[in-house]
Amino acid sequence: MKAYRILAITIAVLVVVQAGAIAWGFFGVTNFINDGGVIDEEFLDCKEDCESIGSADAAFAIHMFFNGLILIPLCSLVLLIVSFFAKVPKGITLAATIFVLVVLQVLVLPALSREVGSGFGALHGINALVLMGIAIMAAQRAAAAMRAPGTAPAAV
Amino acid sequence: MTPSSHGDLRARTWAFVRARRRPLLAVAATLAILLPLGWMRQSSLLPDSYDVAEMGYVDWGGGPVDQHHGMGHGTPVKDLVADPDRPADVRETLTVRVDDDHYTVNGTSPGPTLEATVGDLVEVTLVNDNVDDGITLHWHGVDVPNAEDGVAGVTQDAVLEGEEHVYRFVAEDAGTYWYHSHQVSHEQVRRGLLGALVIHPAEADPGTQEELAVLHRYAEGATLNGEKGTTTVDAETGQSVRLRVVNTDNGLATLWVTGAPYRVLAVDGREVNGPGEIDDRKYGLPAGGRVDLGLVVPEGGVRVDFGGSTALVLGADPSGGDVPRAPKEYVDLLSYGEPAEIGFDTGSPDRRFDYRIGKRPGFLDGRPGMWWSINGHLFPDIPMYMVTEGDVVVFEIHNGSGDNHPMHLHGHHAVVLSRDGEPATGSPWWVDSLEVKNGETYEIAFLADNPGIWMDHCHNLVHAAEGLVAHLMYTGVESSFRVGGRSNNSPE
Repeated sequence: MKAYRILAITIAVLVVVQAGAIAWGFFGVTNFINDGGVIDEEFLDCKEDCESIGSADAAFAIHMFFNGLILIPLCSLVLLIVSFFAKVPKGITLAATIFVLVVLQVLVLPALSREVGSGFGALHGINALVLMGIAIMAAQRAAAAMRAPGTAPAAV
Repeated sequence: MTPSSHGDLRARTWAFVRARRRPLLAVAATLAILLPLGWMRQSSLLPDSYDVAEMGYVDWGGGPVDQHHGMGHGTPVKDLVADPDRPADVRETLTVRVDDDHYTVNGTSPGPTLEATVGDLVEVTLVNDNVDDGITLHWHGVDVPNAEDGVAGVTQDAVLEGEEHVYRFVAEDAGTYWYHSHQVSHEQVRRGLLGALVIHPAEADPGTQEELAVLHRYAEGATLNGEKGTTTVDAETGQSVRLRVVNTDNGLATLWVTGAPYRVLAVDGREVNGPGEIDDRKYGLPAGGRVDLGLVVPEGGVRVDFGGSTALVLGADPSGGDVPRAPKEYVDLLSYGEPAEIGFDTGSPDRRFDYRIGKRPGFLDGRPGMWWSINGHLFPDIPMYMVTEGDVVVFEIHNGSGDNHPMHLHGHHAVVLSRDGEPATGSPWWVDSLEVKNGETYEIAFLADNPGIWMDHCHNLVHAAEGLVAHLMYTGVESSFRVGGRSNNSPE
């Protein structure tokens, strides 16, 4: 139950980090272009030895790699597994919802933004808030279950 | 044991299961998630060394199946060379060094421009001064004999530190080409192991001024022939210029000309038939691709911009130094120039292949992520396209991957037949590096006239390292080299 709660809170916090990182990144891009930099396909596809846009390099690395592609998906997968063991009321449903929203966020919405229209990018932002809300709700449920009388302290 | 004690046992077992139902279900659910993931990861692991000819699955493209293929009766790749008795007409030694992650060829990057005339036998000795990973040279766009193609683990072993390797090939087609490493290429090319190769026609026009523009982006930024910003060269008013542009980067380069109209004289080392004058169009040069532009310098000079980062000014700068605005539309080679014979019949090809590029979650050599797929499969479980010498081969390349891919076929030039079902109506559009944008479908054809094992991959070398690499395999040919192994061959 404790692990469930910690993971759910972590996911909510990581979503906040994502929001901060992407805003940081785009301010950095604006500065880069104002200083004469050029953003093109070569730039977007660059993975190693890339031209630097200053500190905002870290922002994109966080949003599009360490946090967005690794940490959040990993936490949501571990949360789902933990939910099977933690006796949190509706805990599995909430964890599964979080997992589905992460898949939507990382795979489906970016693909739709590319294939159908960039307007789906707006849903990427909105979905992030929904995801954060449900992660907070899941953490609260776990906390409530831990406080509930008659609940034996559990390791998970 | 009495019947009732049987019943007791059942009841007790059931009670045991019920008491532990939740943890058992939880374990089962966990395994249901983790076991398939573990299995997928395990099955994606690459062995320490492997033969590309035994990788993935065989695709015969609807043509005849060679039952004897792969049974050890073929010509080894290492024997597919130029005439060993013929003396060289052009001899060069290229020495590669790496210092602080910057590669140089004979002390510079880009390396020296190699020049030859059609018919010359070119002999290049590659020397590895100090590169730990090993190096090779691939002659991008030159349809060399297979053993000279420079792909580590496929057509040779990587040239290790202190070693050298000799490449020999006949310069058969005049045009603009380039050379680059095909060992750990996504790293070595980006860091500068590259240079241009120009094959001049037997009778060059002495009245034309030749200029070369090698575009490359280092970690420090975009360069033109190694220089940042705007490069100015002298040119008289009225002078006709052939500007050979090489895109050595991973993404499309956009070119636009200010001050004069221009013509697209050649694409990927093949002349365009009847090239018309272009006034208000920009040109998209795929990664790895080359284009020769024809210009006549007007009184006020002419300026060619490369993606807004670098520019070449011939004579005066017509823009006065500012980056001129790029035209909105691209030149469309599908309808550019005049039709001409291509030399073989594409109406009933011997083999037809699909090369459908996608992207999906999975594991690549044990690493989880979103990876490129070919016909729905992830590397290394991808098709090996089988052809026989003399076949007319048609490929349908479809890109549904959400990104653009400059597809590069080694050892051959293919002609574009159609794009999204719209047939080509202009000059024969020959390519070795074709930009296939997201959502596009190209039909291309080529004559299988160069036996060997040939990579057919995305020349966004990062994408290639992420598994967007297939290969063309001739019947009657067998491997001589392995990826991995003693030389640590790692072509991408």
